[in-house]
Amino acid sequence: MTCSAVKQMNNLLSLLGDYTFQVVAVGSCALGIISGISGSFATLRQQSLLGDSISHSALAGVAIAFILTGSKTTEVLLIGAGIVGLIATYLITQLSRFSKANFESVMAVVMSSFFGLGLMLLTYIQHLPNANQAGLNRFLFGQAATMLSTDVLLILIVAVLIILTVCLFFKEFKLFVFDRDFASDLGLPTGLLNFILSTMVVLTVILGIQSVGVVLMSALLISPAIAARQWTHHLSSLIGLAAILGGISGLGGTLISSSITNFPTGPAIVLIISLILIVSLLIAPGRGIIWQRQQLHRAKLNVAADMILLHLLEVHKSTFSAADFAAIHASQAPLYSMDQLVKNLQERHSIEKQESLFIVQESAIQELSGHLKKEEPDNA
Amino acid sequence: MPEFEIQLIAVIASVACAVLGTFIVLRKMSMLTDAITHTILLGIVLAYFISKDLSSPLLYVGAIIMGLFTVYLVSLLQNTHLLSEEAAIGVVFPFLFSIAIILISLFAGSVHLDTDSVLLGELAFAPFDRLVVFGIDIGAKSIYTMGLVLILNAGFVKIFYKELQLSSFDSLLAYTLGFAPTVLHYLLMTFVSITAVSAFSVVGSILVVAFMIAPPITARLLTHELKPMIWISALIGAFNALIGYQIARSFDVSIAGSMALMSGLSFVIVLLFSRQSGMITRIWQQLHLKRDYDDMALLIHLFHHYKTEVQESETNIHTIVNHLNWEPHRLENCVKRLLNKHLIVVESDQYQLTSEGIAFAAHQYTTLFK
Amino acid sequence: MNEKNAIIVEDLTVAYSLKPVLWDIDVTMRKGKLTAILGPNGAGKSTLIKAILGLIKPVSGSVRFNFDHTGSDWHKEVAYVPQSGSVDWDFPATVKDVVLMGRYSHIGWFKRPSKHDIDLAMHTLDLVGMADFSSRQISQLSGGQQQRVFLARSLVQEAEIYIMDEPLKGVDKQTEKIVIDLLKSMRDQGKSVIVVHHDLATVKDYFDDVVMINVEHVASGTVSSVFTEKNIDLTFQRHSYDLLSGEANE
Repeated sequence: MTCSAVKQMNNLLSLLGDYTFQVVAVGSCALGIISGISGSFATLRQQSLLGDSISHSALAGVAIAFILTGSKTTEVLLIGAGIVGLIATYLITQLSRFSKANFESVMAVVMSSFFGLGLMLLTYIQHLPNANQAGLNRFLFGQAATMLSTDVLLILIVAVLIILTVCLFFKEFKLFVFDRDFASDLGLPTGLLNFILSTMVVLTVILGIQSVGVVLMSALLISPAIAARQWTHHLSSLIGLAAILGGISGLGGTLISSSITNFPTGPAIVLIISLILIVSLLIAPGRGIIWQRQQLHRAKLNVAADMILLHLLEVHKSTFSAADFAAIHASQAPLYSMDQLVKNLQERHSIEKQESLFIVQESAIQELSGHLKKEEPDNA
Repeated sequence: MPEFEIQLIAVIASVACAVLGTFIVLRKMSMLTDAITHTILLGIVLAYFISKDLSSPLLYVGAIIMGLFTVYLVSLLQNTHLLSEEAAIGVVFPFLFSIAIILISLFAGSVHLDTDSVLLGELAFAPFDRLVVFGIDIGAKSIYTMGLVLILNAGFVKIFYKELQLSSFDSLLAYTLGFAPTVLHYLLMTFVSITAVSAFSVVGSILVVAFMIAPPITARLLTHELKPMIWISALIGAFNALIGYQIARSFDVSIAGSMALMSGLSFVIVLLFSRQSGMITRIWQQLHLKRDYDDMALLIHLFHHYKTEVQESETNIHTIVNHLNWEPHRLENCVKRLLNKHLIVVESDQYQLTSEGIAFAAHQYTTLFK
Repeated sequence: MNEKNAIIVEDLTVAYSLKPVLWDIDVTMRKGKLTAILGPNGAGKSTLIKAILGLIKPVSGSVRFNFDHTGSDWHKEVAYVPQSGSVDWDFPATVKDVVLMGRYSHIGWFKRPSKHDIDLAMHTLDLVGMADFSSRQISQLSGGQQQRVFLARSLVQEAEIYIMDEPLKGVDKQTEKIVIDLLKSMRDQGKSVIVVHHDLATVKDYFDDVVMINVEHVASGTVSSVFTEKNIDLTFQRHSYDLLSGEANE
C-alpha cells in the first residue's frame, strides 16, 4: 500500500469513528430507508410529485409553528410542517376536483402559494425584506450536518413505526393501491387507508427535508422506488429493495460529504440515488433500456434473416449451399453480414448445417409458408 | 420612485409569464415548468465556469440550453416507458439541481452566486441596479430586461398563435397538417427558459411558477375561449402583482412571497364566487337540483302506478315513505311544493296526480328522451 | 318476502348532475339464475348495478338482498366484477397475487393468506384456464386473460351473488366460451349471477332471465316469456313507447 492510500484509509477510519459523523450517517441512512418505503407507495399511486408539493408547502408550516409556539425545536417545527403538508395535499385534491382544472396545475399553484406564504412568514419573523437567513437555508437545502442525536432518535422511531405499519397492513395497502374500487367493494375502509398512506408520505417528506432540503426531496422519495421497480415485480421485494437503496444513498452521501471539503450532503445523497437509478434503468434485465435496444436489434435481425430465407426458399427450395446464400445475400444487400444472418437462423433453429449444405427446417417452412407465393384462387 | 419601479417590474414580469402560461397550462406542463426554473441554475453555473464573468450574456445562453435539455431529458426518460412523466420530472430536476449545488459549493464558494436568490429573488433590490445610457439613468435595468422579455413572448404568441392553439388542443392534427408540434414544443420551452432566467434575479423561480400557472387556471374559470383567456390571465397576473406588493409593504414581508400567495388566493376566490363555475354557485345549484329531483321522483312514482293494482299501497300517504325510502320531513317538503304547484291532490289517503300533474310528468318524460 | 328473489329493487330513482338516469325502477332478480341486464348505452345499466352495490346514492327507493346465510355481511356475499379499465397493469403483482386479493375480506386484518386460501386461488385459476399463468406478471397478459383473472378474483370470494359489468365485451372467442361456461356452472351450484350484457344475439343461449331497462323498467322475467321482439323494440327504440296509455309489458 502506498503512503497516501494508508493515509486515506486512516482518514476514513477516523471519520467512521467520529461521533458526529455516526449521528448524521445513521440519521441519513434511516431517512433513506423510510423514503424508499413511502416512495414505493407514492409512485405506485401515481403521486410522484405530491412529495414535491408537500415539501414546498412545509416551509409555511415551519414558519407558522414557530410563530405560534416560539419554539425552534425540530419536533415542533416538523409537526407544523406536517399539518400544513396534509392541508396542502387535501387542498390540491379538492381544488382540482371542484375547479375541473388540471391536477398538476393545481399542484403547482398550491405549492408556490404555500411556499410564498412561508417566505412571507419567515421574513415577518426576521423583520427583513430579504429572506436570506441560515434558518431558511437549513430547510431549503438541508443541513444534515446539523442533525442532533435527538433528531436521529425521532427519525428512528418514525422508521420503526412505518415499517411496522407496512408489515401489518401490507396486503390491505397492496389491494388499495392496485384497485381502490375493489377494495371498497370488499368492505375495506379506503378513507382510512388513504389517510395512513398520505400521512406516511408527509412524515417522510418533513423529516427528509432536514437532510436533503425542500427542492431535492422529491428525488429521495421517488428514485429508490423506481430503481427498485426495475429489478423485481413483487411488491414486497420492491419495498425492501427501495428501502435498501435509499439507505445506501443516505449513508454514501454522508460519507462523501464528510470526506470531501465543501461537498454538501443533500446533493451528495441525491447524486448517489440518481446514479443508482440511471444504472438500474439501463441494465435492468428484461426491462431496461439496454435490453429494449437489444430486443429492437434482435427483431430487426430476425426480419432481415427471414426475408433472406424467404428468397432462398423460393429459388432453391429447402436445401442450399453457402454459395447460394452468398449470391442471394449479395443481390439483396441487407444491413447485416452473411455470418450474422446465418448465425441468427441457426440459433432460431430455422436452418441446420449438414456437411456443406444448409437444410431449412420444417417449422421454419411452415411459419414462412404464408408468405410464399400461393396458387391463384379459382374465380367463380 | 423605487416603489413605482418595483411594481412596474412585477407587473411586466407577471404579464410576460401569463402570456406563455396559458399554453403551459393547456398543455399540462406546469410541473415541467417548475422543473426548468430549478435546473437553469446548472446552466448558469456551467456558463459561469466558461466565461468566469457574472454579467456575461453567456449565462443566459447556458440557462436556456439547460432548460431545453431538461425538457429533452424528461421526454427521453418517459419514452423508455419505465416510469411516468411525473416521475421523470421528479428525478431529473433534483439530479441536475444537485450537480449545480455541488459545483457551486466545491468550486465557486467564494463567488456570489447566490443560490437563495435563484429560488427567491429579491425585488426589493432591483431598483438598485440601474441602466445607464449615454450617461443618463433611465431606470432600473430590470424594467428593460423584463420589458424585452414581454415583447418577445407577446410576439411569439402573436406570430405562432394559430399553431400554438392547434397543437395545444390536438397535436396529432397539428402534425398531420404539417405543423411540427415537437418544434413548437421546444420553441415554447425556449421562451419559457428565457423568461425564467430573466425573472430569476428579480422574482425567483417560485414566483415564476406562480405567475405562469395561477392566472391561466383562474382565467379558465371565467372563460372557455383562448384569446380572452390570455388577456384575462394577463390582467389577473398584474392584479396579483400589485395587490401582492401592497400586502408585502404593509406587513414588511417578502414581496415575492406575497405575490405568490396572492396568485393562489385569487384562484381560490374566483373558484368560490364566480358565477359560472364557482363553488357557491355550484352548491346552490345542487340544492335546487335535489329538490327538483325529489319532485320529479314523486311525480313519476305516482305516474307509474297510476291505474295499476298496487296503486293502493304505493301511493298511500302513509306507506309511500317506505317505498321511496325517504325521511318523513323530506316527503313533507316535497308534498308541500307539489301541492302548491297544483300538481297533486290528496284524496282518501292517496296522493293523486291532477290533470296538470299528469301533463307535467308526461312532458318531463318526453323531454328526457329527445 | 319472496324467498326466491336474490335482489329486490324498489322504486329506485337515480340522477347524476343534470340528468336522471334511472326512474322509479321496480325489479326483482331470482336466486340461482343467470340474469342479463339489457338496454341501450346510457340507459342506466351500469348505474343500476352501482346503485345495487351502494356505490351511488339514489334519489329515492331501496335495494334489498336475500341471502341464504342469515345475518351475513353483504360485502362477503356479493361479489362485483367491474369493467377492467381502471387498473394500473404495470403494478408489481403476479396473477396469483391478484386472485388472492379476493380473499382479503375472508382473511381479515393482519393475517397472511392461509394454505386454504392459496389452494382456492389456484383452483379458481384452473377454472378460468389460467393456472399456468399464476406466476406471470400481470402486465404480460392479454385483455381476455386480464378479464379472466378478474373473474377468478371474484370467484374466490365465495359469494352468493355475482354482479358483472359487461364481462364479455371485447374478449376473444376462447375467453368468451370459458367465461360463459363458468357462469353457467356457478349458476348450477346455486349462485345468483347478474350480468350487464351487450350482445342481443347471445341472450337466448346464455341467460335464464332478463331485465330490460331504458332509464325505466321496460320488462323483466324469463328469457322465453319476456325477450320478445316487441320488448326489444321498446327497450332500444325509446320513442315508440306510448307513455300516456301507460302500457307496460309483464
